[in-house]
This record gives sequence, structure tokens and C-alpha cells, in this order.
Amino acid sequence: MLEFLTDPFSQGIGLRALAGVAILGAVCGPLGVWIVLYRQSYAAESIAHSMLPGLAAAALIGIPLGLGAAAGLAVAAVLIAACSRQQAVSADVAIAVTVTALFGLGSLLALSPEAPVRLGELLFGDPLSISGGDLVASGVLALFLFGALLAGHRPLSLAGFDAVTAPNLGATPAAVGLALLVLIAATTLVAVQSLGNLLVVAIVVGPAAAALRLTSRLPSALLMAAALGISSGAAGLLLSYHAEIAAGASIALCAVAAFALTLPFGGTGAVESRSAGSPVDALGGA
Amino acid sequence: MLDAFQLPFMQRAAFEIVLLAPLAGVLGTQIVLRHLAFFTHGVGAAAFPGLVLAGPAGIPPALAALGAGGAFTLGVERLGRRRGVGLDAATALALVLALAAGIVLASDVYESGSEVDQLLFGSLLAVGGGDLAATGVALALGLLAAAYARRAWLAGGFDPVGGAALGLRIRAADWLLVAAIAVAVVVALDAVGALLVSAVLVIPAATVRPFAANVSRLALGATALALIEGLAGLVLAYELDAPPGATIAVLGGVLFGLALLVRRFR
Amino acid sequence: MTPGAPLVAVDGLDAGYSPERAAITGLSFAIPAGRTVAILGPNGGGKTTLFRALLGEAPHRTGTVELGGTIAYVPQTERSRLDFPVSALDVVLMGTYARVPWYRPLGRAERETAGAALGRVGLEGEAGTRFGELSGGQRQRVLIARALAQQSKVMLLDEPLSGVDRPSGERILAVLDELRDEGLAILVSTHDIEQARGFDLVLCINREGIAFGPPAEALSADVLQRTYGGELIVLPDGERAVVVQHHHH
Repeated sequence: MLEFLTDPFSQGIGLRALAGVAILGAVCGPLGVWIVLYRQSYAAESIAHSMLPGLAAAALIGIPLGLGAAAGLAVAAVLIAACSRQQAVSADVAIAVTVTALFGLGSLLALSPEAPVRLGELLFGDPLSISGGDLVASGVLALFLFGALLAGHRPLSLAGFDAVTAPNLGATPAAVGLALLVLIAATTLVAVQSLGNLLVVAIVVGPAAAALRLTSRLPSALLMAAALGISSGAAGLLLSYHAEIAAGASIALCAVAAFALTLPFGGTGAVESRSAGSPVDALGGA
Repeated sequence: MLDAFQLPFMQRAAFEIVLLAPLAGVLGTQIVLRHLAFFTHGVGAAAFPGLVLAGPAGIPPALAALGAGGAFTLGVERLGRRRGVGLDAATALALVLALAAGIVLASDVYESGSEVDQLLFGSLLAVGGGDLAATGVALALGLLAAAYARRAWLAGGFDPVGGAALGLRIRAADWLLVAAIAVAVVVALDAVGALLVSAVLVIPAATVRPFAANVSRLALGATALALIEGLAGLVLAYELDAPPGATIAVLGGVLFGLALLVRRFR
Repeated sequence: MTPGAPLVAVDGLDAGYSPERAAITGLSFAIPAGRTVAILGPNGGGKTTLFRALLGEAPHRTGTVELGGTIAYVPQTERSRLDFPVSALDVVLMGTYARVPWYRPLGRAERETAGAALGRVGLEGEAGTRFGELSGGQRQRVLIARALAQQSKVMLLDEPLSGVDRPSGERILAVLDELRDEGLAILVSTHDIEQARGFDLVLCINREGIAFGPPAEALSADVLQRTYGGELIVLPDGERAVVVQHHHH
């Protein structure tokens, strides 16, 4: 039984992968709590897509991938915030336009013959390819993010994510909205190596949504989300090893499972759903 | 440049765009006005595992995609009614579940390999007669749904509380809308790929919206813009030897930005 | 519809959102044609549920609700989307939708009905103005015009004067009186007890019917106490009472 649990991690690769996803879970969990409370899951899901042009451009130019990704994310965050401030542009439309265009740009660059990176890795990640240097970089970024989360705790809880009235980016104070987007962008950077930019949202939203169904107290939710995030990462690696399936996808599946497992519980009311009259309401529209 | 359209596959691709444009206009208007952009994107992504399974299971890809998209829609709709479930979180998780499942199926179960790229980015230059027929059917269904339900969509979207009391069947009309969008997504992803359906169904309407005084003008303007962006993107992609779906997406984004600037400095 | 029969007849109504907990129980009242009725009650006391039951939307229901025709509803203007590309006339035209089959375009008759309705609320000059650009009072009047365009015999208004500027409010009350004179039954939910004294009839609800009748009878101190409980403040002169307003969405 013990071998079942320790086999994947008995070698350097496995151990580094575990460390990498542990950092990931610990950082993405708490951030995810804010994202779920502020109803920014779409932004979180989509903003990862916008990393693609940065990554592809970095690979083509020859600068470190991390820089390119960061640039792509920064551009996306700023564009989304700017667009959603315009009249007659709602938040979800701002995200849809920005991200689709950037993802298109990324695919143009990545599919061009000169691009050295494999598109699959960029999109879906490969936790087992994480090196010692990558771990250190992740760790440093994670520390920065923890600091940002701590510093931002008070303003984020005060800015008012009134659960009943469901704010969008245009309604929250500009600084908070932008800060949240930047935090999402930075966190995605940590996650992209392991999960790829299509699957990042799983580890950001899954554990957090699960935690918020189990507790309505903010500090507990933040801790629980971190714990669930780390567990999802570890479980994903185990699943990948024993079932011989893609590691990034396995982690994503476990993170979603964490949420699914909380569904039978009643939910604490920390996250209010709007009363859904028509299917359009239930599908997030209005 | 227009010599490109002498080629049969370019003519078919152009025809596909012509068929998609009215859908982009009519349904895109509703998607933008009623905040259904995330849902639209989700249906596209959710179709991915269906497409991976279609070949091995021996069912037509469009049907498999529709099935997967339908399952996604029903699943999220039910989740959205439950207390204590963040709706956008549920949509995001359902979406990523579909993508992860698709990846596992594609790489480890069926080892599809390069088809994944095609699924994700579309194959506009490879549309055949069957694809065009499917898009034609989707167009007919979408326009019929719009003709039937347009007033309920407007009244219900403008005022969900009061709209229901106007004697209109708002709920039925909204189910029709959701279904029409799912069908439109399935045919659009054949052209531009699962992850870029918003380039067709959302961007044109979003670009025209600030300039449209009423819903009819929005739908017409979005149709025209979708046509222009689609054809121009197609020609550009041909000249640059680039994937057309991505080219259309980038062009759409640029025009959206230009439109915003035009508004700023008017 | 037999002449002289009430336009709204409610008998033994139990309605609510779940089978176990009824929001209102045993409610009975009848409203003849040509009356204005003020509906008073605390938030959560069942006014909204009653409205939904009258509109045929309350999910769990025993007892009967009989209406002498269709019913038009005027919600608070906060609930409508101000960013929709619709003009005031477009909104009023929505009142005619139910009468026009989908294959027929909206025609001259509908536009005239809508134009006339806008005229009645004093907004014919704003027909082409975008709804979102109107003031709160004007928007409320447009929604009333939309209800007028439905040409129903019963009209339900949800706090139509809250947050509305004085001229619009007076215009609204004048139109409601005109409609009453034309034989409609007008039901208005309100928190304003003073205003309620100006209506033909008053219905006080707090989970059950507390009182129903002319204001002189129905607005006694005892009734108000039972209706509003702790939300009530009786002013020093002993004659007038004020309801504590809650900020609600």
C-alpha cells in the first residue's frame, strides 16, 4: 500500500514534480478563493490562454519563456481591464474579445514552422519536465504571491464582493479589479509549466470552490483551499503514474473531482447563486 | 489576391463564412447582450472530447460535438440552479473537465496526436460538402429560432422580472436560444476550432454594439462585419500560409480595438 | 366575465417557494372593477409572493386566484437593463408583443397603441430616447406605459414611487386615478402609509391577511402594529405612523 503512494516520488523527477505541484496548490488555492468570491472564474480561465502569444514569441525570439509569458499575461490583464471600462462593453465580452484575439495570435506564432516549442506542452503542460531551476523560480514567484495575497487580504475583503449582487469587473473599484487580474496572471505563470495554459483554471478554481462549499469563514476557506490544492496535485501525480495518463490532465481531473465531491453537501451560502428563472440565468447570462 | 478564390477549397471556405455570418449576427447579438460569452466559449471547449471520441466510436463528428456540448449545457444549467454553487466557477470547472478528458482520450487512450491541433484550431480550408450542408442546417435552425423567439429574447433579456408577465413564453424561448447557440458553436468550431468560436460568434457583435441604436441594427451590422472579417481573414491566411481561424481571430481583435478608438475620438 | 364580478378574487390562498414553508396562508379578498388598492406589508411578509401568485408564477399553491382578464405588471425600474439598445417606444411596444403572432411584424396598430400609452404618461416627446438615458422617474413611467399597452383590466405595480422624483410621482398617481375611473383594478405595493390613505382600498399582509377595506377601517393603529410589528414608529401626535425603510435589492 505504501509503495502505491510513494512509488511515483521515489526518483528525482517525481520528487521535483511533487514539489512543483505542491507549491502550485498552495498558491492557487487561496487565490482561487478570491476569484470564486469575486466571480472571476471566466477571467481566470481565459487569461491563461493569453499567455500563448507571449510564450510563442519568447521561443521565437530566444528570450526566457517565463518573461514572454509574463509579458503576454500583463498585456492581457491591462487590455481586459481597459476594455471593460468602456461603455457598451461588458466584462465577459471584454474577456472574450481580448483572449480570443491573443490566443489567435499565439497560435499563429506557435504553429509557424520556426517555433521550437511543442504546442502541446504549452497548452497542456508537463509537470514531469520541471527542473531544479524551475522549482526555484516557482518558489520565488510563489513567495511573492503569498506576500501579495497577505497584503491584499484586507482590501480584497473590504472591496465588497456582495454575493447577492454579483459584481463584474466594471463595478469593483478599478485598483482591486486590476490587482486581481494581475494576481491571476502571476499565478498562471507558476502553474503553466505543470498544467499548461488550458488547464490552469482547474487548480485555481476547483479547490477554492470546494473549500467555499465546506466553510463560509474566509481564513478557513483560504487554508482549506491551499490544502485541497496540494492534495489535488499529489493525487493527480499518483493517478498519472498508476493509470499512465497525461500528468497535467490528471491533476486537472483531481482538482475538478475535489469540487465534485463537495456537491452532495449543502453548501454554506458563502457563495450565493442568483435565483435562476430561465436557462439563460442559470448559464451565467442575464 | 482575389485569384485565391479561383481555387475550389477557397470557394468552399468562403461559402462556409457566408453561411456563418448571419449566425454571428443574429445569435452573436444575443450572446453579447445577455452575457453568454463564457457559455459560448465553454460549449466550444466542451465539444473537444466529443470530437476525439467521434472517430473511434464511428459517429459523425458534428453529432458527437453536439452531444458533448449538450451535456455541458444541461450539466451547467442544473448546477447553476443549485444553491451555493458559484455559476461561473461551475462553468469553468465543467469546461476544464471537458478539456482534460479530451486530452486524456486523445493522447493516452486513442493517441490521436496531430488531430488535436486540428480540433483545437479548426480546418476551414478543408471543409467539404458535408460540412457546408451542416452549417446550412444550423443557419436555417438558428434563423428560424430567431424569427420565432426574437421578441421573447428582447423582452426577457431587457427585463427578466417584468418580461415574464408580458404573456410571453420566456423560458421556452431561452431554451431555444441556448440550443441555437450550441448548434452554432458546433458548426463554427469546424471552421475556426474549438477554442476560437468566439472569433465568429462574439467578436463581430461586440465590435458593432457600441454603434448600434437598436437590436436590428446590431444584428445586421454584426452579420456584415462577420462576413468582412471572415473573408478578409481567409484571404490573409491564404497569403501568409497561416491557419485561417487564428487569422480571423486576430483580425477581429484588431478591428474591435480600432472601433473603440474611433469611439473615443469621435 | 359577468358584470359586477370582482376583477381580482383570491380565496384561501396558500403560496410559497417550498411545500413545507408557505410564505402566505389563508389569504382571501376580492377587488371590484374601478378601484385603487394599496398593499402594505413588511419585507418578507408575502407581498412579493402574492404578486407572483397573481401572475401565475408562485410555485406551490392551494386556494384559488381568479382574474377578470389579463394582468399587467410594473416592476421597479432597477431590475431592467439600462444598457440595452432600446428606446422608450421599443420598451412600450413590448406590451403589445403577446397580441402579435411571431410571423407578423409589429404594425401601425401596435405603434399607435404604444404611442398613445407614452402620451398618457406624458413622455411622447421621449419616444426615441434610449431607455437607459431617461431619469428614474421617466423610466418608471415608461414601464407603466408598457403595462398600459397590454390593455389589461388589472394592473400590478411594485413600489412605483420609490426613488422617483416628485413630478413623475404625481404624474404616476394621476394616471392611476384615471385608469381607476376607466374601470381598471389597480394594485400598488407600497411602504408609504400616508400615501395608502389616498387609495380606495387597503390590504395589509404579514404572512396572512391582516385587514382589507377602506383606509379609514384598515389603517387602524392595531392593524398597523400587527402588520409591521417592530418596524413601525408611531409619531408623537399619535395619529400618524411611519414604517422603517429597509434597504433591499
